[in-house]
Amino acid sequence: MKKAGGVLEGLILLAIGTYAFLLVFFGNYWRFLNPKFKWLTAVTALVLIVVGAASVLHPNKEPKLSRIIIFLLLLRLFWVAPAGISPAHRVKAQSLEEEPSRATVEGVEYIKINLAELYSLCREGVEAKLAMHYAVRGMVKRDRQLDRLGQFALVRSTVFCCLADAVGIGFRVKYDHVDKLSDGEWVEVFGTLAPLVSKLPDPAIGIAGMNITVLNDSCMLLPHKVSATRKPQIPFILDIKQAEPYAY
Amino acid sequence: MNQDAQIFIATVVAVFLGAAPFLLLGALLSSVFEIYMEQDFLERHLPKGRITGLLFGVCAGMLVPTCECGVVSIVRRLLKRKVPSHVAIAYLFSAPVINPLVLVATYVAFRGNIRMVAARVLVVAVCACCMGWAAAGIDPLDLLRDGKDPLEPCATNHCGQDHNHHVHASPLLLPVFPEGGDICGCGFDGTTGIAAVLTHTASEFLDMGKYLVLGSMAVGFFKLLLVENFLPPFHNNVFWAVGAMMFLAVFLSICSEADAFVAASFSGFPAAAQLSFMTLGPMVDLKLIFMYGSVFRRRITLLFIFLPTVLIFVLSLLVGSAIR
Repeated sequence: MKKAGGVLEGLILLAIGTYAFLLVFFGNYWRFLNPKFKWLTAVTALVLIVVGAASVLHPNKEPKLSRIIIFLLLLRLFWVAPAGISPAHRVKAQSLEEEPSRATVEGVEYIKINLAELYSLCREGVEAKLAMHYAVRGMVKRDRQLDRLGQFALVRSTVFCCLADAVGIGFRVKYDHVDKLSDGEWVEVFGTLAPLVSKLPDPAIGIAGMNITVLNDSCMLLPHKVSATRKPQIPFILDIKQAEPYAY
Repeated sequence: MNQDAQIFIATVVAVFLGAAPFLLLGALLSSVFEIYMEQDFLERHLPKGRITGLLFGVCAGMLVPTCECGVVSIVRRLLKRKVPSHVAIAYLFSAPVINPLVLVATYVAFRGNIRMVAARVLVVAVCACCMGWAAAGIDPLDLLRDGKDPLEPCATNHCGQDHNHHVHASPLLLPVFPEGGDICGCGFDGTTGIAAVLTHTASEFLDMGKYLVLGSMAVGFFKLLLVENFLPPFHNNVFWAVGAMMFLAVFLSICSEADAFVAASFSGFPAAAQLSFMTLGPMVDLKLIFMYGSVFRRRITLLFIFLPTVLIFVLSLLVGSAIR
């Protein structure tokens, strides 16, 4: 019985390693972790497979029921995890990088940039950025307080390492036709930055699954154009570049 | 499946897979120590004085970088090897931050703000020294929940041999217990060399990993329970801001390699609050609370939760006010 338990522990490690391997190479890794850590998970998966195989060949003589139960529960969660290693739902992260770095709208050229990159730029001081034209996209979040000011929040979830550290990052957008926008709608905003002259109270906005959403407190967006767009296949911001071409 | 269930499952899977590499590295290093290192190697080579020992413990992360998930396993093994408590505990609390990877990540996240990097190192180093100092003089095995002396014959004798396998020298990386036998409680089956390292690693990974799974589940539940975007009301008062960010650090349980990026996004918060977030998380979070509970005695676990919390609150306010 103990030998069977020891073999089962080895099989559990093999299963975890196999799942991680499949997730990296055939699954929607980005749904859980930032793809820049794929190599780390792949190495871990391979080591776990080797360690698991060794444990099957040399089973632990003192297997513990508690850890077997807990890890079987984890494997069950792997199995039911939303679109984890389902090939039908697979989306390639690379597909986003094949776009031009600038967009021309009504004769004006805009730098395509994601909200986290623009947020990061503003931390270095906004003066030099006020003359630039930016194109950003994100989810519209409306709030009564923002509505009164003729503004909406443009936000997008940013995943630095894994889903646990995901943060909603965004900007206030001054817009005269806020009523035409609905909460949760995806839009592209083409416009410029303007400094926030006085500290405004934070609106109570949030994104499902994100415990934190921050709006830039040094500047806001003044749009020349706001147009509806499709929600990206990978809605998260997974890359924050420091210079053009940005990870729009 | 409803949205809450999806968020919970995705969070558990993400936290576990994100921490697994470091847990595995910790288990692997711990097993290599166990199999290949002579029993008295560390005792012979570690600094003898209390101050030098503390400094060594604080800086050891630069030599053996790991994150908070891997370090608990390593420290458990070090304590079983009778590494002085103050050295091991200082290492436990400093290694997840004072290591090259995390320092570079902090530098990048704060766009070259060297003062923030220095402040993070300072707060963690002071806190780790205090924790090490508090543990100084205590028998290393007395800190552990299952603190058996590895030199004593195995009480259970489940492998059927009267073994005393930890006392042999290890020339040329030969295993220190060539005759085989069980290392008390781990289920070792008498294999040697690489196979022994792998089976030990498996046992260690599963042992610590179960608490990681439980911690990941706790993080998943917390993510559902916490009111979305609860922070804004706190950021105008530095005391409340520090408290709120410390609360967030414990319950979000973000890896020390990534927490600087999250902290940097709170640009509207006082530097002290950002600092508290980056320093408490790697010392006390939901995953770690489960892991501490599995390795250390209850009183020690409570000490490891409350003392760093108080120290970091005070230190972040003091050091944070000096930066920016």
